Amino acid sequence: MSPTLTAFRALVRKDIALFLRDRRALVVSVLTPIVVAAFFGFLFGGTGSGGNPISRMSVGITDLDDTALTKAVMESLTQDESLAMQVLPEDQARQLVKSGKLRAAIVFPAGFETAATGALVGLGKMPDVKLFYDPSQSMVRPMVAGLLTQHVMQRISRPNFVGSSKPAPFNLVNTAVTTGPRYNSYAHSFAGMSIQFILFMGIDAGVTLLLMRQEGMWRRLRAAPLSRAVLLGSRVAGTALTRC
Amino acid sequence: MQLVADHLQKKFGAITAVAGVSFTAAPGEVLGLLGPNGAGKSTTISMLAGLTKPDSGSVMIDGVTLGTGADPSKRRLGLVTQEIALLEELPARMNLEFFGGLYGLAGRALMLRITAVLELTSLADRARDPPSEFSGGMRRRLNIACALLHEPQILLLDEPTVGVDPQSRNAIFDTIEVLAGEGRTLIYTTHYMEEVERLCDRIVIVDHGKVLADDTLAGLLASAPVANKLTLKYDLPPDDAALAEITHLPGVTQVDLTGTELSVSATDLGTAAPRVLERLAARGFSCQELTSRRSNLEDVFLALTGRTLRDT
Repeated sequence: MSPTLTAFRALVRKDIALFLRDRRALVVSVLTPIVVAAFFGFLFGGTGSGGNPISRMSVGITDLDDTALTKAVMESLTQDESLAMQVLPEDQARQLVKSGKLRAAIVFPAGFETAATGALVGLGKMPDVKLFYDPSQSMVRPMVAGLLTQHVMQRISRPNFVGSSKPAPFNLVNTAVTTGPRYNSYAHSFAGMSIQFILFMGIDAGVTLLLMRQEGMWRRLRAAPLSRAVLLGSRVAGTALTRC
Repeated sequence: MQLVADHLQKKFGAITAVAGVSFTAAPGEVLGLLGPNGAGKSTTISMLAGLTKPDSGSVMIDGVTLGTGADPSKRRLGLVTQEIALLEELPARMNLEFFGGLYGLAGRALMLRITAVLELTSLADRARDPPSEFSGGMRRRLNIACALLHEPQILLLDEPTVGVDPQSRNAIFDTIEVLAGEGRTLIYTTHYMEEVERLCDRIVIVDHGKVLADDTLAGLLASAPVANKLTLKYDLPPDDAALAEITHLPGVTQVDLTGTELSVSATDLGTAAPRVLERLAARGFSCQELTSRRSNLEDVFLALTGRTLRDT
């Protein structure tokens, strides 16, 4: 074996020996990525939404009008697969949004049906529908507002349609597209974490080099008849072997 | 092997760390590089070890110019760094295997060398322990052992005794004397004059990146305009006639009387001191207290720079 190859092997072996020496660091470095990736996999939906129900948004609703129209809208909202509706008093609905247990809450005011049907044909004032939402979740407000508008319009315009005509002129067919038969957020999370850990590995290699300089080890290594390429290359190889 | 530093110069920005340092170290010679902190010793060592490329000048080993990086001439050099550069958590033996591997040593040859350097540095019984469990002196010795594995003919020691106890310091000195006895060339940097006086055959005094003096210890002491000093205390100070007599004694270079304390400087205390005491006693002046001090490298440095080694 050439002296350079012997030196390269000694440098890599040193990194592996140091890594295996610290058992606590070894356990942490193996377990941490698994735990973190599993946690994010769980957060992102577990093993599969390809064919599984879509996760629903919890939304409260208060009906102060109690008419045929508001009941029909509430029924329609309840059947929407994006929403998990709860009928609640206004104060409780507001409190649950405030505590983060509901994403949003809708309040139909008294006189909603009369005012809304009139406003639709240009008569009278439009009713005010309250929408409570958490400002830290900026995407929830437009989503709930959009769904509410859709369901109210479908129900309020139904009497105007005759025969087989529908309030919406199309059916939406949902198809989840994934690389496998089912979407697996754990696979997604572990792949993302792997890339992140490659970045961390690079940072670790750089920090170790700085420490080596600080402690005088780099000076000592450079006193040996070895090129910088051998010293840095062995460092990369050692880090890759111990971290991957 | 002969090591030649030829007009080495190195600047870091506007600061000139080394300004034309030249000297030659012969085989079997221990050459001391003495100077205060910041004198340019470590930068000089870096250039001698092929770590730093000089801005101008060169380092030659047996007539071959030393380069940086993977220059094969580096195999002839061993560097003992000022910092203790060890793998603290790995056993001493594994440290030695690692540093031996850097110089291409492997297998039986490596094992034999490890045994030899552990014996030389008296660490054989602690080979399985990590340096983190060693005393400061033992870590310093292991630091030296790591530089000796590839049997370098030239050894560069950059302040190898910093922070060690007197016992370990003596053990390090013994190791250095053994290495010098084997005919290796040793360059020893320090700011402790006592170490240089004990170990070095020749001394190069550097300050502000320049060589101020390059000679043997005896040569340096002889060249300095200072002398060995005898201090005598009397109840009744000697009179003018007595002072005039001892001033003209052979070897006496200076006589000063301050109150009841008489200071006599002489080129050789061994011959001058008995004569001074005899003449003064003959004149009825009885000495109450006597101290003597030989001139040393501190005096030489003071004479050369106007400063002491320690106040810089």
